[in-house]
Amino acid sequence: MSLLSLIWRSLASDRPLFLTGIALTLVEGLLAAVPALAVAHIVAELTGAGLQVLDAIWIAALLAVAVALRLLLSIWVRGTAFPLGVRAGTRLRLDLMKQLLRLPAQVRERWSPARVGLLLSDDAHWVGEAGRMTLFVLVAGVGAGCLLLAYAVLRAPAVGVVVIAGLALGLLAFALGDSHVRAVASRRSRAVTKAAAKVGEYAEGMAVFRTFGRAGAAQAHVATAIDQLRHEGRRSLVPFAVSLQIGRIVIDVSIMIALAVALLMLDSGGAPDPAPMAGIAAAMMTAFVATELFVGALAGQLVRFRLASKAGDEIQRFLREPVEEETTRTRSSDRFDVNFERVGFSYPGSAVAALSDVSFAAPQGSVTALVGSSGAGKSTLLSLLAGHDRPTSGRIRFGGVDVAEIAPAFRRVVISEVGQDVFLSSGSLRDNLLLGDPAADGPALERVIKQAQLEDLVAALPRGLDTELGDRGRTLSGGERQRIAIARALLKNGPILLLDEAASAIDPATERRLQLGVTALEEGRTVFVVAHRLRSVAAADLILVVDQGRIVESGRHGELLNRNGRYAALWREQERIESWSLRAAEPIPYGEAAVDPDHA
Amino acid sequence: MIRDSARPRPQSGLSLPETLKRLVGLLRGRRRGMATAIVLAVAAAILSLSPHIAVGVTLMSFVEGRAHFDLALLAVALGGLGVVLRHAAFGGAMLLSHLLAFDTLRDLRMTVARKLARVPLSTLQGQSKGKLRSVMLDDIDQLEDGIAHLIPELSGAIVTPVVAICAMALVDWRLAAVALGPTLLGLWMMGRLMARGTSVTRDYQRASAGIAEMAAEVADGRSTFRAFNQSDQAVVKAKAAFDAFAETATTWLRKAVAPGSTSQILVTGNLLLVAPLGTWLAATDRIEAGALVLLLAITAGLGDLFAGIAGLAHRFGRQGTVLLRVEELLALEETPAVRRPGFEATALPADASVQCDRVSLRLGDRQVLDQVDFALPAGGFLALVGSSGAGKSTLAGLIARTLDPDEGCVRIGGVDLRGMDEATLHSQVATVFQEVFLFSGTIAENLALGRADATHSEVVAAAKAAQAHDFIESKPRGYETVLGEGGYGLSGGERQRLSIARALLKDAPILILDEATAFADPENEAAIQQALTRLTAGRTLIVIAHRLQTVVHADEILLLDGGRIAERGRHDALIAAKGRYAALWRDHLSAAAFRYGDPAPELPVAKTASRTAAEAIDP
Repeated sequence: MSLLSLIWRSLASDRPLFLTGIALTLVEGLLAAVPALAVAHIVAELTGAGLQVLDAIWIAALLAVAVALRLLLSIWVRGTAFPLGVRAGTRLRLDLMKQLLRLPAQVRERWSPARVGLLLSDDAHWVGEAGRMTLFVLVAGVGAGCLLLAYAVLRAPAVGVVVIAGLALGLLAFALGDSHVRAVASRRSRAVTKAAAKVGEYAEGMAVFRTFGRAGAAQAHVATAIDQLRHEGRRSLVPFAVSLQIGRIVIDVSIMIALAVALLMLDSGGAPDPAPMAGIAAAMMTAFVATELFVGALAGQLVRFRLASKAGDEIQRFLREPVEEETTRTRSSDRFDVNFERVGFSYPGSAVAALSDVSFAAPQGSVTALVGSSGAGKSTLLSLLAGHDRPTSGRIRFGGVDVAEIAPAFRRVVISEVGQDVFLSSGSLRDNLLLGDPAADGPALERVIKQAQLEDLVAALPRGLDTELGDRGRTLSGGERQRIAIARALLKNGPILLLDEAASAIDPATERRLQLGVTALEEGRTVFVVAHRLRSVAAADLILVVDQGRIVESGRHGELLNRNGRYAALWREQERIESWSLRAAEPIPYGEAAVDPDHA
Repeated sequence: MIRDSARPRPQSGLSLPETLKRLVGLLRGRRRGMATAIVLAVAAAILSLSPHIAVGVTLMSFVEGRAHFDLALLAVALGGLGVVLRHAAFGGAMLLSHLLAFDTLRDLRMTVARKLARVPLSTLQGQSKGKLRSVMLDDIDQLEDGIAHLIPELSGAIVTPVVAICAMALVDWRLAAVALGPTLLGLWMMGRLMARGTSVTRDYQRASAGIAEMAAEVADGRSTFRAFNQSDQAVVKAKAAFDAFAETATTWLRKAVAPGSTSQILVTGNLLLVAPLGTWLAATDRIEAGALVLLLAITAGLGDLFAGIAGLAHRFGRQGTVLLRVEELLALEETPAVRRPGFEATALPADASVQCDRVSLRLGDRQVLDQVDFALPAGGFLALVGSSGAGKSTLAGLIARTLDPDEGCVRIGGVDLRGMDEATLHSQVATVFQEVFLFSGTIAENLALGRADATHSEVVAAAKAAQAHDFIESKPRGYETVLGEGGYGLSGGERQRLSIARALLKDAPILILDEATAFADPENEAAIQQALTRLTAGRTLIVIAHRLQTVVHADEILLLDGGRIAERGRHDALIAAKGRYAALWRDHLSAAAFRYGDPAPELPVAKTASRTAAEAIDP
């Protein structure tokens, strides 16, 4: 049902034309029954009065007209009504795309990019396919079958009833068999998933297994998993085969029973009266063709219909994901001091607060550094600032205005983010930079390229700024990607800047360039930075030491060192780390560690 | 990869006979079983005529009076048996063909698994991991359709119409010939359409794939688009792609699907001529009424017999693509067998020294290493520095023999690596990478990868030395904690320490550290440094490091640039030489002194050996 409502909704203004297409398809289906009716007539006449040459002429004319009409109708329907299904698919994809862009960031865990890709391509395809193919074939097949069955019941009720009963039983067996198949299939896929994960892991980890000289053992493991895959496949074979065949056996056998009934009627009639005999013969013929049409249409479309239903359910689930409501928040602010007032935050479904009771004041143009171990809540704090998440308690103010009242679009304009993961689209380098400001002119672009230390990259690319970054720029190094992000943020020119340092090391020359880019970007902005090296935050106006979601210390570098608390300890630890080098001191032999009193 | 818009796409797919040949080739040793399955499928196809004949014979007794009554009852009884046997035979064919398919799939997967153990490590590392996985799982899975369905179904789809036409010809050859008329016309049209429609169909499939790619891209970048208030731009871009697809799809419908339905109607239009001609023949007493009825009953269902063929072509096409992908993997060049020119005696290394003699290597059209030369005594410490792409990791890879050099040779303990078997080599060399591979299994099992026969106390001792014991014990089930696939559930620093514990267990005399110290979280980093101090004691050490401070005590530092040794020596000597290393060291110092909020420096930094952007271009 959700599938049909999805198709109906996506058809929009095409609905009348689409319904016309369905109606004409029904007519086409009825015309497809005409040859069978002609045959029924022939059989009836042969049983009764006998055929005349005139019969041959009108049958020829009737069939020719029926085929000609069918050809016309089917070409019209496929050329005119089927494209409506395609257009419905396009509308559906646009709706999905808009929904995707409205969804809050956390939904990402439920809907990975690959999955959304499938939703927009495959799933939308199957729904569109249902709207332009499956429905039509079903309507035509079922229409023709019903017409023939009605004819059979009219000519010989007994024969008709037996066949209809058999057909009903057969469809029931079909449905039961189908649900059984689905149950077996889902059991099987659960068992298979586990084994498949092992096989996949082997493929990915082979290099490592080999460097540890364990290729043989790994192969033995993967052989078990591969055998498991085979075993699961074999186990479900018999239930599959039986369930799939049972419905067809019931239908075919019911035809044979109807034949037996017809023969017994012929036999018990004594001296047969030709009129009812002709009716029974004609009914037999049409009922037989009807079952073939039913089975053909249903069996042929069943798989498609099931795929489409499943796809429809997935799409409905995605469309029902709650989106960020665009309220009447319209305020803006022309000052960019940032204040946190007893801000708390918990992730949905988590009992532990990710942040609690966070308060601080960052004046416009100041640099605020967030330090602490990983998982302490630094990135969550940035995410609240950026508006990806909303505080569960407390208040954030920009220039004195509660951000809950500030228009989301305005907030996005004033905040620039340079994070660890830089998204590049597969367009040209220029397109990627212009994301920061689509209206930027040549000189502006040149300036930020210089400030972000990107000149060398532009010079080395074969078509400079217009080089297409295929594969979403994955071959660019991390340092290059981050400098592109810096250039974008420079173009965007938002007064508040959020920096989330990448943790992995890069070579000194590249790191130096990145730092110069950052320095250019900081100028005149209210800056928040998640930093890993304490030396880099020594000049910050405010350092917040975050631990388990709370601010445990705050102040300037000198003050914090004098306090001799958490920050001072971290500082000493890091100074030691910074000066560490391999083979510097007397090494501690591994053998000593091996002799452990607990386990000796 | 930087995309050239005019890049030709590789032609994928095999012709139908080629595809069939390869599918049958996969069934080596199981051909008798498959022949049985085909016989059963063909029997089912023939038996599918039985209800037609039962209906025909029954109706004969209606038109010809009671003469045929007993025969009709028998026909109905046989018809009943026939339909049951038909479905049983088809079920049997499917059962058998699936059993064969599952066996074949297992063999093929094992073949691929063995192949992966024999190709050079560098080839494995060069393949995208997702690709190996998808070939081994999804692609091979698709072959089930080819083996279990297509082969028996194709046999049935060809045999059924032939048998039906023969049965009709036995009753009346004139009408049988006429019945074929529209069918042949329809089949001819279909064939022409298929030949002409492949390009349209291919366009359609390509446009469809483009949509998935674009959608994944927008999904990936949605927060970026939003952050820049450019959601509308993304929608406009998407709409353009959707419209292009819709246009292709509509063309496909008009050019391929609509004419396709015409041919379909003709193929199933056997009665168009048979019914009037049969009527005329009967009216003029040129055919017996019974024969006509029997023939009409057979013809009435004939159209559906051909319908089976129509869907097969597309499925065969997909099999062709999949077969090519599997073959491509199986065709990868294997590690050259151990060659022992001049190593007829024992090829066991004398000690843990490492030597590179004028080593050069080209990959594609890039000279990755050029005449690199060094001799590292057992227990020595060599550092490799330089920008990314300078050749550091490749050089380290030569020592672990993930690659063989084009020129020169690499020796461990005086033995050329090409004369050493893989087991001996891997007992000599351990590598700790920045990226850590953990498989799904317990922590203990993951550690035991280092040494299979390690006792529990040895595992614990190694974990303690690697500063990993405490965090392992803090997990719910300690060493028996099951890690998800890919080691999910551990932080980067924790993974790194497990990897160090593994290397400790392995206890190889030569150790390669590839950016193993690149963790910036202070708490983890201190632990990792302690662990590395333990691990490196007494071993021959080759270290790739970006943070130069780490390697200032190296016996020799090689500064690589574009695959050549640009400078070499001890740290103090290199600093005193005031060359490129000294410049790099200055960068290191100023990067370490960088502070957020400081004003911009007066002078830009000197241009040093940074990664040339040209390398960003895919070779």
